Amino acid sequence: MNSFFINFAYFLESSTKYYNTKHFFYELLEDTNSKKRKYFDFFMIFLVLSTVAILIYEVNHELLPWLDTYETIAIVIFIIEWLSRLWVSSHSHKHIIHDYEKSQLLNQEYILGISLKKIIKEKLSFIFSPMSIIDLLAILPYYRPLRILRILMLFRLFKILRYTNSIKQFRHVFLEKKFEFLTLAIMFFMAIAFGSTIIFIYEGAGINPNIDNYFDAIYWSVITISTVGFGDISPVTMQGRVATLFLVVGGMGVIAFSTSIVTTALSEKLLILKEEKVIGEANSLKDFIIICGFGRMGKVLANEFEKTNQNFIIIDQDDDTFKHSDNQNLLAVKGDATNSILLESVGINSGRATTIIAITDNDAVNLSIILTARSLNPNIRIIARANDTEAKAKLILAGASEVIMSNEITALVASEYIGQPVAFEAIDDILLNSEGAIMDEIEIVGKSNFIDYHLKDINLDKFNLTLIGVIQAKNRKEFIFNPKKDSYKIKENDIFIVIGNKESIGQLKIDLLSSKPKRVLNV
Amino acid sequence: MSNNKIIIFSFSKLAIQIAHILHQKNYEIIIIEEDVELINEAQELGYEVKQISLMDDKNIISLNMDKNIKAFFCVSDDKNNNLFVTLSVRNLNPNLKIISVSFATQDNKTMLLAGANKIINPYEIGALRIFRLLNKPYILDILDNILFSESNIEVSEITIQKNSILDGIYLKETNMIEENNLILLGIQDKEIQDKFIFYSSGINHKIDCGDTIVLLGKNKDLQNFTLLINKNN
Repeated sequence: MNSFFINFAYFLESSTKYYNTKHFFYELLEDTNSKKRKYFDFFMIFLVLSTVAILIYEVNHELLPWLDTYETIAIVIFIIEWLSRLWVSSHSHKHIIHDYEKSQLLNQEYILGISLKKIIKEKLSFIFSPMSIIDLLAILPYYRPLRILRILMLFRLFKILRYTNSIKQFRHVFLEKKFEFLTLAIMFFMAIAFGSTIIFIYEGAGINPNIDNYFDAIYWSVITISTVGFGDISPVTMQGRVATLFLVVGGMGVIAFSTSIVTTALSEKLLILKEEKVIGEANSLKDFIIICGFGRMGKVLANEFEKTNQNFIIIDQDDDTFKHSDNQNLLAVKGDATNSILLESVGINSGRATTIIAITDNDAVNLSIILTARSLNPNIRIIARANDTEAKAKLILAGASEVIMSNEITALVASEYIGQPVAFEAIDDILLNSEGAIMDEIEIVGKSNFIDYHLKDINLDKFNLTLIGVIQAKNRKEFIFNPKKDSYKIKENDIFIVIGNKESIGQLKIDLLSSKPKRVLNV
Repeated sequence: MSNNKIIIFSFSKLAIQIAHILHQKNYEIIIIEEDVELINEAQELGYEVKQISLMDDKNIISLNMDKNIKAFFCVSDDKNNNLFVTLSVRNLNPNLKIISVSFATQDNKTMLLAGANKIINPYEIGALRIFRLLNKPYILDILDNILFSESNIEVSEITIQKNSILDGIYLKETNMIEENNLILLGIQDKEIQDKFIFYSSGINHKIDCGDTIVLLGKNKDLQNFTLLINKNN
């Protein structure tokens, strides 16, 4: 018997099929970042709402047979779902393997019972978890003898909680503010107890025809304290009216207090919710760049990225920087970029973050970001901004791949202007990516018809493009400046560096792929 | 060179870099600064420092800038001071070349209105550099080589003299530039001073004396070409 379980456990452990299937169900049911789960959740919400709708319809209509079938199918799905959740909630075979290997190591006899106990304990803890109970209660009323418990069908509505993350968060709000709510509840019950006792003593003994028993008194005080005041029971004695006054005033306090607790807790939670949404979105991006710091430089950079549809996520500590941003749809997280947990949660290690840019105006902060990022991911490209000349070497030492000194570059540009103002204007236009002309790279891909032709066969003048040079494929480092048009042969993967306006460059890129040279190549 | 003096208003971090580079290019640097610590720093680096306030017009006049100064840099860290100084200096020296710093693109207009010839924005330049580093690394490399390093490819501007062989010729009529292994980036017409016409815009411009052409090429070729166009006539 023992050996059967052990062999079976090892079989499961080594089976990729088993693992993949289980992982598939895990993604479907539990993985918050999975797309599959999203679709599954929508489907389940629909199923729940439709079965509840059937319940409402049933109240004063005859049940149609196909609706009955529909409900049966829904219940079967609910049961399968619950069983699957029970399955993926823990890895039972691992306990057997773990305990077995431990006993081997200690040279003891392996007792299956110990492992089974652990497994059952884990499964039971799942079964008695609140969400699992809701699931079960939603299934239960389908069993005919328990039809009286039809009202439990409404528990299916609670099932929706399972499928919506945000609602789950609200549950956390109540858990976090436990103390406040407890205080509130005690205050509330005290007031109710006093109010109902007073009214019962003074008006309960047949004085007020509407108050027959203590429950009436409690009912009256709850209706009064909540400021609903139906008026079906109203005090008739002086003492009763005084008690009412106190209850109403106290009731306002209770309402104000509870409202403030809920709103503060919710608004705190909303920020976290929003952040989680951003992180969730970042996790669905393919290649993205992390920008740490959304100051003046960060904004220009983000703007450029947006123009070229480059994915990026911004981390900045200051809330105000986002408020003053023109674009409110940026993926932005408020937080400390030197915090390794935050960097990890935005996906620095996911393999999809290609680059991290430390661009704050504080060199010490940038250094700290570099070190944190480097410690988390030794291969990611890190670009840092240095504000002081001395800091540059330190940032490289910390692990930055490239360091940009904006002041130095600006000074170089400015000094160019002193010597050659006109040339500078031209370069400045190109540098700033202005409307006049841009400098771009055009790569010759293998499919191009122009390979092995001469440069003059591409009619660059027609496109009004100026060719500055070619970076040769064979040796990427080698830049051939102003190659001779009638002798340079175009090779695959050559990169042309051209100046011209955006449209012409785009057109040339298309032409190089689709059109053919006019001349036939002599081989 | 008689007017190789450069005045830099305020010894900010950007000013330190500008002074450093221009000093290497043999310009004479004069720093205007009021902060004692910064004055000491500038003096230690060997620059001439004047401890005056440019908020006062008398001080600006005393510098006698219009005749002796190559360019005036207005690069303090305070946006409003920059605007004020740019405006006052322009008012007193209509022909001076003024380069002012701006920290946000939306401030460029006001700075131009105040009278600056050229605006530099370190944030923009830095951010675009990072952007290129990621998206167009080859271009960044080539531009750096042409602009900022001692490589043999240079960008150069040549103003067409009277009687030059290029005087009166249409851009597309001449093969001289190509024959000399040079690339024409564009031209600035004498009449329309502020607009640079890129060759790639496709306009066949007529070259007149006083126009400035911007060429890209090897050092030696550029020198030959300059001699060629001015000598032949």
